[in-house]
Amino acid sequence: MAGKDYINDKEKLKQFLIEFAAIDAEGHKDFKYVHQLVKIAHREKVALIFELDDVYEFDSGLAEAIVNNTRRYVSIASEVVYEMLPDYKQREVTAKDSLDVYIEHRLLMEQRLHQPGEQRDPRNKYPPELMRRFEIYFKDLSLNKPIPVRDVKAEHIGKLVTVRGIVTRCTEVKPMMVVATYTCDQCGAETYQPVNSLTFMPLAMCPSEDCRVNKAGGRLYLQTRGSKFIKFQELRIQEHSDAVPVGNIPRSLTVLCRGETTRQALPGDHVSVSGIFLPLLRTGFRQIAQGLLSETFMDAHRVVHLNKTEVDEAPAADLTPEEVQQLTHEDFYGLLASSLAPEIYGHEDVKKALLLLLVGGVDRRPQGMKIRGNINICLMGDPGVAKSQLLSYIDRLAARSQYTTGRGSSGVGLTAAVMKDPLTGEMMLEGGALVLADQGICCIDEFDKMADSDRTAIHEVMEQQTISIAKAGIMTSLNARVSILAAANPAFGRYNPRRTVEQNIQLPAALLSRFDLLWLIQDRPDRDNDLRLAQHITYVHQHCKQPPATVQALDMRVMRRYIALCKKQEPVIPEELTDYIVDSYVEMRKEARNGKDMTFTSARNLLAILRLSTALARLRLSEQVEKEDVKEAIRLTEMSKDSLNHAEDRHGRAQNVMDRIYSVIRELAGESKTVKMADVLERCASKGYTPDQVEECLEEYEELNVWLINQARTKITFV
Amino acid sequence: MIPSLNSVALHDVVDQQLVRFTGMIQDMQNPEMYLEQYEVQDSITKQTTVKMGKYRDIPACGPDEVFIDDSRSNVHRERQVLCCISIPALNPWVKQLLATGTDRHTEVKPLQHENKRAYSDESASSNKALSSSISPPGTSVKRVCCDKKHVPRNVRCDTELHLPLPESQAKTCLVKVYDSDPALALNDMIEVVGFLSVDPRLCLISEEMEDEGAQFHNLPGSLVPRLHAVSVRKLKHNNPLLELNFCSSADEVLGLARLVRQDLHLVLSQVLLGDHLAANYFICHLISSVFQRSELLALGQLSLNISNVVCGHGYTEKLYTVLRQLVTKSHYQPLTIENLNKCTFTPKKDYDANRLVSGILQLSTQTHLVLDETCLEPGQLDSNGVHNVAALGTLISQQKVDYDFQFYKLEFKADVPVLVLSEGKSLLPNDVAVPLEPDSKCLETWNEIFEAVNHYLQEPVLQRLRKYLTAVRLLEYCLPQDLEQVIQDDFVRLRRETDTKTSASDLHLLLVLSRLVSLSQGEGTLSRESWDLACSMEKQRKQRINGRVHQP
Repeated sequence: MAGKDYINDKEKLKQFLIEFAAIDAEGHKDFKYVHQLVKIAHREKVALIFELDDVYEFDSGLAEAIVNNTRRYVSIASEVVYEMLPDYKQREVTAKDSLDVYIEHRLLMEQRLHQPGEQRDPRNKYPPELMRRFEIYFKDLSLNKPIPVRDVKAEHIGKLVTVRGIVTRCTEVKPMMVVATYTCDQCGAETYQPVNSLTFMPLAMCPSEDCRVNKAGGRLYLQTRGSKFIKFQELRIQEHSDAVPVGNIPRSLTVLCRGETTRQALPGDHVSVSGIFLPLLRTGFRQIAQGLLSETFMDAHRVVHLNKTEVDEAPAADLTPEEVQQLTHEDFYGLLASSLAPEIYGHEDVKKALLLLLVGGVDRRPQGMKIRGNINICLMGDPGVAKSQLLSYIDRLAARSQYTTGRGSSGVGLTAAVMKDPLTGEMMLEGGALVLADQGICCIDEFDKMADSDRTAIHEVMEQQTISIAKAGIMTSLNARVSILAAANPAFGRYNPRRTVEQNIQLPAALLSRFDLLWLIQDRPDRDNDLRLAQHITYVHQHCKQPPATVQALDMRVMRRYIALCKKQEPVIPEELTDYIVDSYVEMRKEARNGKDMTFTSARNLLAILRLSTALARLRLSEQVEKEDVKEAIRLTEMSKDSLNHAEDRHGRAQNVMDRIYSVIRELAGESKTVKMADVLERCASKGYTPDQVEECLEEYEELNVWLINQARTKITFV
Repeated sequence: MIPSLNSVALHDVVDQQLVRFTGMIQDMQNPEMYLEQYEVQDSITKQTTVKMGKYRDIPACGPDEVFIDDSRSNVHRERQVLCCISIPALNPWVKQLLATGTDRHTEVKPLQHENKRAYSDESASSNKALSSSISPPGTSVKRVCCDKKHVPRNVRCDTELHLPLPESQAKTCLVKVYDSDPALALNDMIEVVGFLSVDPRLCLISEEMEDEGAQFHNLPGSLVPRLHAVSVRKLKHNNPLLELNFCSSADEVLGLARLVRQDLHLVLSQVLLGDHLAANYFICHLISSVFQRSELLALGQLSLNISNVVCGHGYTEKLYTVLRQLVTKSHYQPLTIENLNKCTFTPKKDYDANRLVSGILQLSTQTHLVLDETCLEPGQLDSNGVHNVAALGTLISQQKVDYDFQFYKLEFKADVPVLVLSEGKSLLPNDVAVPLEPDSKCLETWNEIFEAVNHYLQEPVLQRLRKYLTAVRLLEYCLPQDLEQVIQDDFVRLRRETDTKTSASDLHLLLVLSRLVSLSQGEGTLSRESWDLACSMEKQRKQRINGRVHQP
């Protein structure tokens, strides 16, 4: 260290402040540090921020020296600035607070009393800290990536480091003494004591010339108004959950903020902090006892509050070339899809649909109307077909998501509730899962068991993407821009293919039609499939790892980053595709009318296709939807319909006329046990069944002891 | 032999002595910055000496020596601080064995105290006795005395917060690890050999510290001794009857595996009231452990739900006492509404005190958790209760526990075999549910049966069973190529026969079960017989469940 030429560095810093100019867009030179200095000279600004990127441009050696020994350079820079400030004063400055007045008076005093050539007692000299009203901060090189809290080690002591974390505790902002000023009760002389640590030992005896010579034994009294204080706050930051290695407890770091860096963060905030990592000096008895240990802290130079998106998006840029290579695989769509929950075997189309849900379509707002881009998917199926696993996987993968069950675990439920604050007694709004998942995905398991109040609210969420509240005098509308991924169990234990979707899930059609895709996951015995499944599982057990499939599943982190990248795209549907889409839709409607369709085809399906195709275009990182995208979207829609209609095959026989008539009668009966024969005949006739068929049905079911018909044949009573 | 802190009272060892400690990592604190090298100056001769600061908390300064704060030869280093507690849920026989084991060795202990009491009652009272038993050398006796009135007030309960289960003899210990090994994870069982540091000057610091966060950090050495680790070893099992890497005795144990299994089966089928199928599953459950994990799946576990436990009061407790004699670590948790609502199951970070407050589910691997649902009565679960049930559910189905760090949850892996005893179908998930089919004769005489079983379980038999259970679990296992085809064909056939009621998870279960069946017979490779046995066990069990559904 001895060889370091600090005087030279001081000159360099001075030169830097004067000469450095950033060239702006129009080619003008912007002397940004000079501007800052002018402002500081007029007390319009307190903080002077040295951007090390600029220093690096000016002199790379100097920037490195600053990073490695920041504390020293803070004081050097303060000296430089202090010396330079008077040159930048263009007009008289009005005093802003009492300390300014004090400083002014002190300067005048010094000029008056100070005879040329007289040697002043250094203890009575004004310490430089007292006279400065500015603060020096360094902004870390943008090349220096934030390091994990875990990696801040002993070798970083004294250096400028940048860390990211979540604030777990913060104290109130309190004044901290920087320079203590005392006056003597005997001679009236002022004495100053700069304070550098968290504690200090107050002076008691007056050290001035008068008192010493006269042995007056003047006592010193602390002058609060004459002392200099600085804002001080202590933060504690803890590393992010994804930076914690498996099986470890998150580490934390104490950050001391002074002056302008205070009040930048609250507990729970994600922050990025640059600062000097230093050991904490203890004084007195504690120091001896503590001896070998030293607590450490970070002296903050810059505290930046990261919002959630910054945290999420930051890694998106970091896709390495290898990862890009992986992603530009021929069948990357299939690859991405099969990387979703790789341990769940098969269900390729469902996974593709889920992938599109993660990416989402594009929101449209033609003339104030809002058309959502978020894709809603409902998975139905017999118990034990890995619905819940798929949901929890998506919940883990999505950057922002909420996992809940239809019943919900808290009183708030899915939407929002007005609660009474236990402390203040005020009414306040507490968001439920759908509100918390705003701009993300809300995974709702056991969708069919939803509370009635939520069921009505969810209609609004699924189309308008808002939640309106009018409770206890609070009327408001909350954003709930969520994609809903629901899983529902059939009402009768197993999916009954003879009934419609609504009956099976016991949800109204209005709600079901809001799902872009309804998927029935069924488990059918199929020799080839079963064999492959068996091979897969035995491999896992045998080799303790996933089998080397043709495609290697992608890492969750890569997926997350790629999806974040996709979400930035805003693809449009070109004019020439409109006809194609319209034709396809008309075709679908026609088919739906002719076929014995269990689902419904409505204008909502058209929107669904558009959403799916924009999501597909996003996935390709393309700016335009292509015909292939639309084709794939239609294919997925059809597959999802197929999965519902196909269910019949299992039982080998289609719903025959008898069954259909039975269901009509059942429907007519509703809750009551009896139906009038006349009503039955009328209803069946309107449905297009002949009286003979009805008669046949009545007899058949009477034989089966399903119902009884009275002697006069006017009334049917269900057993 | 190095004395073990687990059984030796603190006043029998002195500062700077080499001691052992076996425990579980309960919490990891921030690393400590210390001076690896420091300089002291003799205030009389003005001579400076460089000293090493490793393995000590307080600089070794002579009476005239002064510690130089800003010396150039001071070197900063880091050491990791682990908060270890004695392994939770350790069963009495293990404790006894460990205690007698050290008793034998302490005869040659270099530093002997005259009065040596029995260790069991000693350690129980040690905490109270300690603060008075250590008198600081020379300096400030008064300070220590006055801190006595501080310390017992909050510190006693403070140390308890580190224990997942309330135990009177548990010990807490701060282990400082140098050249930190990143492989050490939370809830690992470790054995540490290191230098003890119980310098009374340390607790003076805690007096001085007003900073709350530092409070635990500086709990008096009398309650929480500090250990500067020279060597840290991860333990795969904690059975004192077996050597740590048990290679030598493995063959002997495994050779007898079939015979011992018969013994075990006999005992278990008796206590399970003559139900042989349940006994078979019970054996598999006892030796299950997670051998592989992926995102949502933990393979190898076999959580068991024995339902239809109808016989009278006290049966479940008695069943547990038998289990407790067999395995090294176990915990019995009656699931009452009150327990569910009041107890903390998942550990939670307390930022004010900067520590992880433990919960019942913070258990080291292979701690058998027995949940007794028979004492559950209708009632209302509050939100804490709902969370607790959910935590139990994820533990059972995925073998992981989400620790609450307030700002986020962090997932920690667990490997805890869970046995649920219930009257009807359990409210918790499970891998295998076996409705008990008690023999009518046994039902009447179950009290006598337990007496007979306890009589049968004498030391030699018990020792064999205990060795067997640990050894078999750690056995290497492989699935031979030639059986693959058989398994696959069987699965396809099963799917066809049962009309899709056999799913992928059933195959997982079958493979796990067959693994455990062959391990239980001391075989490291799956044989056709074991596979068939596993299949038939499953078949019987399914029939039993279906039979029960149809009966009422």
